[in-house]
Amino acid sequence: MLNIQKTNENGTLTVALEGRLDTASSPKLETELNNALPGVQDLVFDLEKLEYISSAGLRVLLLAQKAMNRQGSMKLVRVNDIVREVLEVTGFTEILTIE
Amino acid sequence: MFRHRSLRRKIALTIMAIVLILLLCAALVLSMSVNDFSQLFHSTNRKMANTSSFMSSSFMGILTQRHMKELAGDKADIVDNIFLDFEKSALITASAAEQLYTNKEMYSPREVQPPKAENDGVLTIQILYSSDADPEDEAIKDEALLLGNLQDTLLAVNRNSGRLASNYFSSETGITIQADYISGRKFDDAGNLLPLNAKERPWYQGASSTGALYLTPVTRDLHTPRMGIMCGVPVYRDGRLLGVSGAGMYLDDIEALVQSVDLGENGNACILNQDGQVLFSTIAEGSLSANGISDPRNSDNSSLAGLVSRALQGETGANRITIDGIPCYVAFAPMKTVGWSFLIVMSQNEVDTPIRQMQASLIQATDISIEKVNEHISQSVVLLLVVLAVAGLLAFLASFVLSRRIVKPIQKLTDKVSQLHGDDLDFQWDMDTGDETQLLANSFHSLTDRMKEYIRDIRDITSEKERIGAELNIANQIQASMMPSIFPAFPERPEFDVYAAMDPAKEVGGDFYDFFLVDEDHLALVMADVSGKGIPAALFMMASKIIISNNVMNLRSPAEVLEATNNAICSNNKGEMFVTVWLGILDLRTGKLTAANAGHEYPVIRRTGGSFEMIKDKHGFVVGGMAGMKYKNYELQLSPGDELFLYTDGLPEATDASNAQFGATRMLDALNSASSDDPQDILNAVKRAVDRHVGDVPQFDDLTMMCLRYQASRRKTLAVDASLDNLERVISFIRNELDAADCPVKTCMQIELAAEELFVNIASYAYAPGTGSAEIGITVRENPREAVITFADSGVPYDILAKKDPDVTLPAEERSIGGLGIYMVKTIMDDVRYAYRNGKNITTIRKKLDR
Repeated sequence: MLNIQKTNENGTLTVALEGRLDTASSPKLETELNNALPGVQDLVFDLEKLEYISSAGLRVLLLAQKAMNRQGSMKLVRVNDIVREVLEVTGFTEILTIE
Repeated sequence: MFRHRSLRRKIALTIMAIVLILLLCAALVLSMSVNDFSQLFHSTNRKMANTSSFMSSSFMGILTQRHMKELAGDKADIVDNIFLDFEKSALITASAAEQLYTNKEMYSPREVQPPKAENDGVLTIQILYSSDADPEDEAIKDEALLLGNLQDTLLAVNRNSGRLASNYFSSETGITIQADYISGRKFDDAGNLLPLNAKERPWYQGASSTGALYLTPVTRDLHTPRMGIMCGVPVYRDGRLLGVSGAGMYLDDIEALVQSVDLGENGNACILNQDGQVLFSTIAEGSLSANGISDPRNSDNSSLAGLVSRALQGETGANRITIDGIPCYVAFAPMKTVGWSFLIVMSQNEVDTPIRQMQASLIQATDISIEKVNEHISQSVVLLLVVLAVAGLLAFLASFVLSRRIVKPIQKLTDKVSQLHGDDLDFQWDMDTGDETQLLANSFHSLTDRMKEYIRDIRDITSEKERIGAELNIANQIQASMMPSIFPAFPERPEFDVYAAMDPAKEVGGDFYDFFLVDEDHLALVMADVSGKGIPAALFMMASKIIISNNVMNLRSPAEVLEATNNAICSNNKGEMFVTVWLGILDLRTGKLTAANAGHEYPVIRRTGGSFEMIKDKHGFVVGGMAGMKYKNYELQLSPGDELFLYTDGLPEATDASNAQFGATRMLDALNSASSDDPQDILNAVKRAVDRHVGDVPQFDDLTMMCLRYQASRRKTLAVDASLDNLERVISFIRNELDAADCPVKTCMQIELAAEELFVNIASYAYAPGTGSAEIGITVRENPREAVITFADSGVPYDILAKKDPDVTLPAEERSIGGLGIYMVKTIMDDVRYAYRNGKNITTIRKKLDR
């Protein structure tokens, strides 16, 4: 359901998500991030192909943001309309850097 | 003690004011009368004085003129007599001389001595000769001796007259025999006797030339400075002048006579001779003084000239003229012997003086009397003021005492009344004033007694009323709670929408409505109206409602339900009350409505796309009217979108101020005027129309309405264990339904999101730590097209809407994820509702499917 593609370049970790980030799939992302984040200075989520995000997915994004606040920066790129609306409704556009 | 003195002061002030005004009026009237009287008295007296003086003045003028005329006449006569005597003395001597010459032989020669100086001052007879006569001539001697016989006559005449200065006879021959007192003055300074040339003297010349008695003009005396006059009488024999007899008289007596006339300060007595010369005058200056103008007849003063002319023509008269600028009375009388006139002049002023004095004394007397009157008046005014002051003082005291007497009982009454505090209404009155105060006190006594009674009664009634009111309130609440009043009533059942409302006319009404699910597929609708109002109707309504709903659950056929209900009520209907009932049972799957009507109003129906119209169904008898009644079912097939409207008679029979009923026509119009086909909108539209119709008229009957909309629907349900493992199943179930309804992708995603959040919530918390089941139902409705999804669980009651929304403005570090899911549901969905019913948490979400 959720395809996670990670690319690490010079301390910048780019995570491309494809499919649905919901209650079922978000634990998987959370686990992968826990493993990948140490030593990462810049975290970039590529959400071009993310079709769906629920509060469980938001929770993972929030945890990632809090972690990166301590060790570097985080931004979301290529956010589609469906996901953007969810982010706006929940006020996440205020706390996440969206390009 | 002066706490309530205002009344007393008012009374006292009023009495004092009245008395003061009366006193002032009296004073004003009196002073006006006194003033008028004083003025009248004044003017009358003045007029009297003026009149009398005027009358006196004219009268006195007349009198004075008459008196002056008499006086002038008297004086003129006296002077005339003097001149007559004077002339007579000359005539006697002339007569005697004529006798001598005629009868020379009868007389012996008598010698007369020449004057001797020592005889001066003594009347002596003397002989004098003119300068051309020779005393030694024999003829002269003889004639002198003849004429010596005249001596006795001359002396006698002189003595007799007493006024003559001298008298004498002078012959043509130059002999003069003379009697006088001035022998000493006949000598020159050397003592030589002076000659007397008589023929050179005016008296001699005048007499000889006129041949008659001749009076000389008044002249100064030869020897003395005195005024004198002489007269001469010629003596003829045989037509030959022998000599002239004469006399001389000083006018001292006449002057004295003139001067003796007392004519006051400015008066004047004067004598004018025939030439208009003023001979004597009592005044030294002025027109009529001896030094004045020569002839007053030529005066510029025409009145004076005229008067003097009249006087010198020998007239007697009197007149009032102005002389030298002074108004005078002038009287005149003639002296015929000499042709002179005697004038008496009195200044008018002088004459009028007594009159003025009289007038003055009159005015003085008047003034004195006015003064006295004024004095009297002022005394009276002072007395009046004193009386007024005393009266005012008495009035003040009287008003004080009177007001005190009047007010004292009232004060006491007031004190007594003010002692009545709160519920202490014991009014005690121990006085007996016998006046209105006593009556007032008596009335107050009975009033307080009655008030005490009333208060007791009111207290009892109030407590009773409060008790009843409280009970009624509770009854009202019970009754209201008996009728379903939470809307939407069945949010989880999109196949129908029902809305109802009741406005009771009184606190507890007799109308009722009811709707309930008999089972999952059958909805019962009840609309009923109990006869009568108030508590009995409410009690009857409760019983009826319970009986009907019980019978519906058991019997399922409206006609049978009504029959059973009727029998149940009739078996024990002591109050002879009844109820009209419309009862319908709708099969939600097929839309078939089975109904029976027990004397109730016709239901109203609207088919989809049409308008509201009455269903003239067959009525049975009212429930509770008679036992054993039969009722008949009838059926209606409802199509999706059809609406059914039920009501009680309070709606068509709502009346306005002119008693016009709302009526079925207006009701149908109102129903059709609703802005939407939402049952609540429809009821509101009808309510507004009724309110407009009724206006301010109080609501007479209960107003109860119910509206049902039957929906086209395709409801699918899914029952699963409430586990996260079943999330995929639930989402797939919903997605399939939405896909079938051709839902837009974005909307579909939003509904999926909401469904996930709600299901995760149930799976995570509803049965924790145990497990249970969840039932998800989805209906897609048309017009408007919307998805209605319900989530039901039998877990712990938990209202998801009661939780506070998370703050979505907090920074990341302060954020938590809790509550965010429900918040998203509420934000994304069009409508979210929660209900706990039949032991289930039921959450309903709605989302319109239009793009």
